[in-house]
Amino acid sequence: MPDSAIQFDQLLQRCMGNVDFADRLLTKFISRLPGDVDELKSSIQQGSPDEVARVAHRIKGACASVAADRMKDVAEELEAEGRGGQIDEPMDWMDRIESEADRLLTTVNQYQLERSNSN
Amino acid sequence: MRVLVVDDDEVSAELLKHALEQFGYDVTIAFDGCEAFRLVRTGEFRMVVTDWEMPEMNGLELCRHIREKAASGYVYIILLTSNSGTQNIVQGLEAGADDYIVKPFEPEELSLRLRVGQRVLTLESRDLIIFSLAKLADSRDPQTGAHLERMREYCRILAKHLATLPRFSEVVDGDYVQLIYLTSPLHDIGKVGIPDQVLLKPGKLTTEEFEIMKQHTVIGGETLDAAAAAHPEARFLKMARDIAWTHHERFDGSGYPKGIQGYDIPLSGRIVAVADVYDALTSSRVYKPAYSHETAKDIILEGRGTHFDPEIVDAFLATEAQFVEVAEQLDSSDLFSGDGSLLPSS
Repeated sequence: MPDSAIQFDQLLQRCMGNVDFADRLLTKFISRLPGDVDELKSSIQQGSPDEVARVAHRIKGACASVAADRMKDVAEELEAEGRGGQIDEPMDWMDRIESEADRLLTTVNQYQLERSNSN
Repeated sequence: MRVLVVDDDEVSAELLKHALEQFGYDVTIAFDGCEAFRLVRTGEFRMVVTDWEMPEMNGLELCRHIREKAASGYVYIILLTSNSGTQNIVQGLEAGADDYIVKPFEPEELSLRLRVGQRVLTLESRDLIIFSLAKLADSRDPQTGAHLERMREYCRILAKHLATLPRFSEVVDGDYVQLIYLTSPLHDIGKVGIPDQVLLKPGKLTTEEFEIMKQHTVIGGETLDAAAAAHPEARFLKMARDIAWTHHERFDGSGYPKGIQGYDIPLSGRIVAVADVYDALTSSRVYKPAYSHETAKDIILEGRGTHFDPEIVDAFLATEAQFVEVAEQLDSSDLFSGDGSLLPSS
């Protein structure tokens, strides 16, 4: 699993080297992440594997797009669990999701702070 | 070129839009399958890049809907999804997608895949251009009705039958069948160069007028010769040229313009000769009523080995029920019905 929450070089490549666009994209991604995470946790609590798989899949896609590989991997594992029809150890899953989401938010906030300081 | 991006995830959609715009595409985003399908139905999008999992109508359902109901031309669809694995790819392609890319996309790869899509769409445009040219020539002689539509169907029937015979299997394959279907409507393109007083004369032509009329094979042949020489890689132009030159040649050498005979006449010309005469006989003209299938068949049988290649006549006999079916389905009275029958069905 990669160390950084976001692979910035990959993200920049997908943004065709446009740093400002990458920044705007990350802002949009981060603004939506807490809502998505809440939805995912709620579906786990409700014990609804189909819903877990659906939300996890959506998060996986968004994370893959912005090269948030760690969070993407977690979402992918959870999606597979959901498709299997059962979520084992739901509390552990919620901890992992929350922890990765926090890490992701911190990384992006730090990146954007550094960007604004350097401008 | 306009591209429709379909993704319920705003971040993924924006990222894709940005990359495609850098490659010069004009991009519109739809956030679900229903909205995408409505946009496709406007006829303004020939290229769609869609996610799989979406609420309401998902990517697979969108593919199926487009294939079933969108009628303004072929729409090239790329499924861009995080559903990887062979089973998913097969399922996506079976639903009607043309290509499949697993997220996250690499911009360069995506650009190349889109170029493949553009090539496919260009081929369809080629088909439409060919058919438009043929219709232009045909429009100068409106009495012939749905002649072109029937002609190419007859040619396809004959070629498909020949493809089943060992003697022709080396030459006539699926590609040949498609090519003759595509190019046979150009057989009379040289008629654009024939003066109206000859081309549209209601009665019998004088000897001198007939000589002028015969020139349509030369005019068409030379025009397509020039096109084929300029584009030697285009097989369809070579076949179109052969047909334009030779569809009035006869197996015994008594035809025109060159009087070539037997197997010196290209196979495509020998096939079109039977199809063209059958359609002329079974269609009404100012100077004659439409003959029945049986009468037309007798006349073609009489010409076996003299006017026509005997093997093509045999193919005609083996497939005559299909000829009758096409003649009934594509009656001239339906020509201007506006049902889209003039568009290539390839």
